[in-house]
Amino acid sequence: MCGRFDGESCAQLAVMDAIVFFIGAVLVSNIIMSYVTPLPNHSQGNSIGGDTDPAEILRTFLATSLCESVVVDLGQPFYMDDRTTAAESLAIELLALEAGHDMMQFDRLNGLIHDMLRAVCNPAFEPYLLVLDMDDDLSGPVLSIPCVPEVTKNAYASSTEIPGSGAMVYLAELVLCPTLLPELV
Amino acid sequence: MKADDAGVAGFFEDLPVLMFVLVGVATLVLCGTWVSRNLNAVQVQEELDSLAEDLVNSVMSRLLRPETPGLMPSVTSAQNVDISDIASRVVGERHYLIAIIARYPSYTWLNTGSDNDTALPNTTGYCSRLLNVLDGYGSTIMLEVRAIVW
Repeated sequence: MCGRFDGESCAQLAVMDAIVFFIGAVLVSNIIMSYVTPLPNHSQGNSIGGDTDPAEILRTFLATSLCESVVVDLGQPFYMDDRTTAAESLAIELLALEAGHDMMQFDRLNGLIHDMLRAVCNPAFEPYLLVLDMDDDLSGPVLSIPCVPEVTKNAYASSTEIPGSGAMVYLAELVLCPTLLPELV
Repeated sequence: MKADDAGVAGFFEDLPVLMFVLVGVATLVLCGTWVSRNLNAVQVQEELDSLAEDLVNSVMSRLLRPETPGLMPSVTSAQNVDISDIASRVVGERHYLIAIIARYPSYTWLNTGSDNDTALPNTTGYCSRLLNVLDGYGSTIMLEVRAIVW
């Protein structure tokens, strides 16, 4: 584009040059600012919104003791003491579910697991623990504490393998869904 | 606006030209200043976050003792670790606040360290990590090591 104006007099219209310069300056500024603006104000590193990585939360959670005794009625009372880790209690629950027991029988344990996760997660996120059968990836999760909402936009997740009965291996997945607007997280 | 046939323009005729040029130059200067300040702030932020991460890793390393892998630290060792000694060697001239907090089964502050600086910081670096420790009853509990550096 050029600021020359071919009128009758073939004269130069200086204001056209100035307008072209002005538009060019605005465009260049916009381009530079659009490149710089997405730079993060906070290092994301091992964190989400300044809080801990979901993989670290999941790993630490699985190794943590329930710190409360839980009795499950599986025909006869099944006792889990306060030193039982979350991973061990999940393995017991998965065994019972495989044997045909109802998840309702584990309401107390599942509530405790949810409390453990909420205790360690940023309050801006709601934690959900899913356990999937790695041999059957078409069906839904074997276990979901609590039920995951349909909309999980802007959620963070991490997964790890946990042993089941025999050679079976399950995939434990921690999903962190923002409870606030994503901009505030 | 008339074309400048004679090549000689009056002062008032050039005012719009001057305005467009000045606003264009101002836009470029302001944009450059803003970008420079933003990049500088990001650099400072990254430096502080990195320092906070180093501080937390140092405390974690002291608690977990890499020379004895597989041994879980106890709550007592988390309560007794000298945080200020570690922090003064890691952060240097910067100010810091570090805390070891039990997150489960109860939310309890176990140990804190600070250089007691009361100035309000403009920018802070933050890092937080989790670890498992044994409590006095043989249960494994969750601790968080959290640091702020400015």
